[in-house]
Amino acid sequence: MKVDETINLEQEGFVFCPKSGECYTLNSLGQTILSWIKSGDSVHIIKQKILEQYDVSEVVLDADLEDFIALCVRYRLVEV
Amino acid sequence: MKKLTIAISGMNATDNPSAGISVARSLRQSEYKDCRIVGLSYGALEPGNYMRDLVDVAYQLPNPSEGSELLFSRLAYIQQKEKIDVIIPNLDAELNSFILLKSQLGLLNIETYLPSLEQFELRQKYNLPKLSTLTGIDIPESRNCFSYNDLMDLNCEFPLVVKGQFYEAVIVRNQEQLCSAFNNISCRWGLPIIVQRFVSGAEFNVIGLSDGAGRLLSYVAMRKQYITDKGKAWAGVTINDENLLDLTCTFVQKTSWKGPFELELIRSDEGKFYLIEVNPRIPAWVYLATASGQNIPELIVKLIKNEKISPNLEYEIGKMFIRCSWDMIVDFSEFGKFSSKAEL
Repeated sequence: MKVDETINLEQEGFVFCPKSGECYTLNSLGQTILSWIKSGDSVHIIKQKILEQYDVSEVVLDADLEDFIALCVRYRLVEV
Repeated sequence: MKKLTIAISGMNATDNPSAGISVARSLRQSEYKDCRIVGLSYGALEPGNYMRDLVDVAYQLPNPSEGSELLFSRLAYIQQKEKIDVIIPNLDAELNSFILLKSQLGLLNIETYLPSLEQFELRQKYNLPKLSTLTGIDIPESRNCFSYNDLMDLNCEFPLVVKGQFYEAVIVRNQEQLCSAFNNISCRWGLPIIVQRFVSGAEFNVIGLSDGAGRLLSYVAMRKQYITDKGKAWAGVTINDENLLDLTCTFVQKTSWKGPFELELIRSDEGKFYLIEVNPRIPAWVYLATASGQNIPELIVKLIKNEKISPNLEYEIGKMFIRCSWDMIVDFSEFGKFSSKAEL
């Protein structure tokens, strides 16, 4: 799993895809997850990090993380 | 060195603006920034007539429908007063006349950088299928309709796009809307009306400049971010897609296009690019290209002056334009002068 190298991740959570011209905004957790993917973390490691830092059940996290990654793949921000 | 006098048409800046003001703006930031700019407009209410920071003097031209002879007479009069070196025409409806007048304008020492009549005809909306066959570039299925019978024989699935040969495009979703659009648009712009399959997807435009020998000299691609109800880009961002560059190079090579041009494309939801229109002139968003590092009006003047131009297709990605409305205050006496004398 990796982040498309061409996309620009701005500090404020703004994401610009220079090939398609599409742009998105991420909240702070979304930015953090994308930066973890960019640094090579697997889904399992990302999940562990979130569980350590946030008060969330594993079941809820599994569903939300899967949705988020699926969205990133659909919008061509992430390749699996 | 003599200061150049450059005449530019397309002085309107309505919700469907022409490129003239943006061309003037680009020239004012070029090595020709001190040139004398003569605005050529079609009415007293065109803002470029009064923008003295961009346009030094303005003249009204006869309506394009009045033909090339009348246009030439008017240009000959203007030439006596202004000694124009270069004309950059920016409106679809007038281009045919300017192309026809190229030699005569040359006798007045006025130079242009325009496609041939054959190239101009090839990219007409009603010839898009021919262009697609020549270049291999995909287009949505298109039919030319000259009459109501042609509409009734269409047998196409809705939605469709109904287009005039020069301007306007309307999406229609049933037979009644189709007939209504046919009537409205043909009243204004004549026949044929072009009916095209509607392709859903993001809209992209390319501005380019080529030398008539198959070389793409300048290029900028942008994605429309806000589209008005007239289908015009009101905001856009420059992008970098190799497929678009390849497609543009193919267009230039196969047509040997000379001069500036705009390609209007849609990328379908499946990721395929469809060519919707080829505009044989500079588009209104040309200033975005200038701001991204490609001053196409400047390059046109250089080409006319026989300067050697090497292809340079680099530009800044992620540069955005947002168009705005601006109330310009004009002295009524100036409006009166232009209205009565057709020059200011």
